[in-house]
Amino acid sequence: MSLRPEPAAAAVFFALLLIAGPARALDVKLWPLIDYHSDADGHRALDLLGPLLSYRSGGEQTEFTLRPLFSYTHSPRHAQQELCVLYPLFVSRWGPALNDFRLFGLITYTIENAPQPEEWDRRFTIFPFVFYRYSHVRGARLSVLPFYADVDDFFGYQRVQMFLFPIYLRLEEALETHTWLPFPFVSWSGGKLGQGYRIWPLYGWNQDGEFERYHYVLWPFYVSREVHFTRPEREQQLVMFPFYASIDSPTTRSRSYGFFTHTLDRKANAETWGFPWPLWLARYDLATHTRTSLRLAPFYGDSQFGDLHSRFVLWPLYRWRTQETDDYRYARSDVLWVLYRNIDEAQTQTHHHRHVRALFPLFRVVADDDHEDMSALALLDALFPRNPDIQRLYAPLWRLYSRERDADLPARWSILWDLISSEGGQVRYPVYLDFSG
Amino acid sequence: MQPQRIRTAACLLLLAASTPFLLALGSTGGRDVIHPAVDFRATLVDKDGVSVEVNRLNIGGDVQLEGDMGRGNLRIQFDNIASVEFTSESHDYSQTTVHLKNGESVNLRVRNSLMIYGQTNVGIYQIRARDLRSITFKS
Repeated sequence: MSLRPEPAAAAVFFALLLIAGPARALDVKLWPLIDYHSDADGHRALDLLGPLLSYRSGGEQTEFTLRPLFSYTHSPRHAQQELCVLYPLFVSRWGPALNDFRLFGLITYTIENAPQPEEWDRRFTIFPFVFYRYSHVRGARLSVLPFYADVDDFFGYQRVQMFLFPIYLRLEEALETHTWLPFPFVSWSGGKLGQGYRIWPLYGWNQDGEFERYHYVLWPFYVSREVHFTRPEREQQLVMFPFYASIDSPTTRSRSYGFFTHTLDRKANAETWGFPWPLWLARYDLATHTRTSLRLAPFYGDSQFGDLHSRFVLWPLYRWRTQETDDYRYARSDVLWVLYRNIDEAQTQTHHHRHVRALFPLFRVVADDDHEDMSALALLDALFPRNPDIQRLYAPLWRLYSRERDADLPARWSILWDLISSEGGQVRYPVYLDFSG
Repeated sequence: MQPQRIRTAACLLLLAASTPFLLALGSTGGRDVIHPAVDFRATLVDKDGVSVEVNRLNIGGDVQLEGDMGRGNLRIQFDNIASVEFTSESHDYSQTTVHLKNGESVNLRVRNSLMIYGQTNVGIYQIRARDLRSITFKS
């Protein structure tokens, strides 16, 4: 039996000694066993076994990460803590306002630390089946879909009530309620602005105050809708599926026959022709007699709507979009949505600038004003370039090269999991010792 | 997604499901603060009691009032509003009481920076929500 300590155990022991010591400038690097760096400002960084275990402290937050299993962060300034285990399998956050536990985003348990009378103190959800809510004012409420439900803030509705769905369903909004008995055949509307009833698909009508109303007969063969119907600008839409559709208003006249469509919009000074809609379409500016949009999907598209300009070639192979206003500039180009993307945003008056460029699985660059962060390779972090949990927990595992730069300061960079790295001015090789601090 | 948006989406879904080509037609909408989609006339009274008559009233080109309601968000079309009263709540927000044409009322919270536009006889009038006392629509 040997009494010689294992190198890894020795590294951990040595690391703990370093962390426990007083703050001072110190560099100890015996790659890949241990890489420790501290400065006089109290910042400390420790990496053991390459990217597998890391510890950071002294900045905005303290981080401890065992990749790829879990990470723990603590932000004393915001009294916020977060624990991720195999993100996104389990994520837990503790803060002054609430504690939140999530299992794969579907099972959640939330505790309000400062309960409000109008809010639930605790919420437990197994989405979309079980909803348990508790309030010290309102008591407990349990919903188990599809048998019984009485849930607030669900799918955008203020309140959803359900009993043996589809027998009974009631959706409540601030200004309108809809009730089905049974869904979807018999329903009616009420509330502050809503009124109407429907025996689907035979006949139905609905009205939202004086803004809009519609009715149908043998849906979807005859559907009529009116908007602003008490105003001179009243717009009427009619659909006789699948043969005919129209829009009429003081400024717009539109007709569609099957897949042929023609629209004359005098307010927008535009004329649109389409066949076969929605794949092929052309739009012209009546004032300048120029074509502002051409869509020949899926081969080619080029559309200009106001300050928004969109183009595509062999959609979704390549897309390009720009928007420019007096104080805002946006440009995005992408290949297959996320395989490659280049997004540039600038608020010209406030001089804020954001930039993302990522090519899966090769590289990712994220810049916010004067801060730029670049890495290669990039797998999940190329698909979710601004996700901090992926950045912290997974990205260092496949990051062969990284570079970080702040304004005019020297860049910090790293090659092959810190085999060779630089913290600004000093290049650190696999073996590097500096006790001068 | 917000409740009002869901409701609108459901309504559009009904029409969109009825026919694919209706959505090809649609009105262009837009954010034209000079020529909004509908011409609403109203009397605006600011915090000092100064009253201004405007037409083509709009909020960033839209003819609807949008604000926070609890944790959600609500949009109310000008078609349904009789008047709006503004009360300062904090540095960033104002409380509004929206009186609907049918006699009901709703409370919304809006940002103080919300800009309201209208056309007067002598030019475009614009005012932030924090400086407004009331809007009274003319039928």
